[in-house]
Amino acid sequence: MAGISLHDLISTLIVILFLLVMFIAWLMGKNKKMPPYANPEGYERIDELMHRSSEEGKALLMGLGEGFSGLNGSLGDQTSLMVQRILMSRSVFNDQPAQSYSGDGALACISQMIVHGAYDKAMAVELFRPEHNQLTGLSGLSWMAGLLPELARSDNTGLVLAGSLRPESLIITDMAERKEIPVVAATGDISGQAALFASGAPVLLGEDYYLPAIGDINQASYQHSARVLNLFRILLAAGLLLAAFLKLSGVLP
Amino acid sequence: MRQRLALITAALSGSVVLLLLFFQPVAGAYLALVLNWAIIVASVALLVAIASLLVTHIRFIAVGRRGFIYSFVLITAFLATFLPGLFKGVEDPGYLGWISAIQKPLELSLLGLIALVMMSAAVKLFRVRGWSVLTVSFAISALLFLFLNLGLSDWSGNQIFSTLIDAFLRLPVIGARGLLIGVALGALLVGFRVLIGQESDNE
Repeated sequence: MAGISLHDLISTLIVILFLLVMFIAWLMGKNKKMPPYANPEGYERIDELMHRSSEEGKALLMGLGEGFSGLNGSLGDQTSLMVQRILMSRSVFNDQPAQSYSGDGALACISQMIVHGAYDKAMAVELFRPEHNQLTGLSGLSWMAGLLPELARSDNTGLVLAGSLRPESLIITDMAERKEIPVVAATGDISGQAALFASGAPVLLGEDYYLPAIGDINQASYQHSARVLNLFRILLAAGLLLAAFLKLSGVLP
Repeated sequence: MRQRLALITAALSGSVVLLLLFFQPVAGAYLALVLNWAIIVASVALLVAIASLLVTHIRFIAVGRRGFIYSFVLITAFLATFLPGLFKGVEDPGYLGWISAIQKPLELSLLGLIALVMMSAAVKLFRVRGWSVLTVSFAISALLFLFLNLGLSDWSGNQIFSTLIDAFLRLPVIGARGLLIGVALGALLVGFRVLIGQESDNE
């Protein structure tokens, strides 16, 4: 264990504590009397867009963000893939299938696998078209530049931006607003959230982004995750208060 | 079975990377090796994605789909970038200068446009979100921090003002940390769920 820093030990402690909280939340979930949490507003709006897409026979666009590589070091795109999986499970038989645009090779490949998986599950692999799921750029800016022309088409019902989004993504929401295309923005990037707040699009703030529950889909996972986060937030707040008290009283250096 | 195998492989890879990360001082060399594998796989994925994009656009040209001229432009631009890079090498100064001469003006124009859009979004904020405590405080704090960070005023002579402004300037960092804790918790949860196989994307 030589050479392991205090930070590593604290991280290990947090991981163990997190696993414990997950177990407690799972036990609490067995209590049916607890009222369920409402879905985050942004994800409810995605549900509305999905319904509109089915009813109007128009395509729902999805910007999957910058991707796993490059400057992005978050898990943001993992959540965008979950959102895509949910969207695809509901739009396989639409007149116009949902179309996704990725800003990274790995993200584009995984997203194609998800879409193929959705068609496979619906036993309609022959309807799968790789062109509905494309790489549009190799960086944040080129991804945006590739997505912008897609907004100009007349058969779009809405745009879902989910993943690692920079503040510059505001240009996409601005273009969509000009074309009167409803937008929902979901990102785990703090500066992206702040910039997108200035647009008219519903934005998922803070950890809401990591709790994708659209309509009835993913409810069990969402309820469990929300319970874990709430419990852990209480523990963390108590820990921070205790640390602040110890620091002020001179116990901690 | 095939799905389960992929899931087990992903969970095992994630657990190994996590363990190597924790015991970095001891297992740093192995972590570098695993990360190199990840970079190679990501690079191959990029090639596959580019090939898929090209095949799609060649198909658009072949069937004469509406707007196929854009596909033609894309393939021409790709070949004009790819072939010289292949023959002259990506480190060739002439090649780099030529690519930069196209790429930099494009990126700068886009950034200029973004600056304008951001400014107009800040002005439109009240029309879009209405006059609320949140929007008003957002605007006041944006103006205040913009003014304080311009460096036009020097308060170093006055101890009280200087302390107050220092405390003020720390406020966005404190707010961002609050949000970051929430985001980090969310990311931790997603990571765990992926690791234990509760979020299998490729169903």
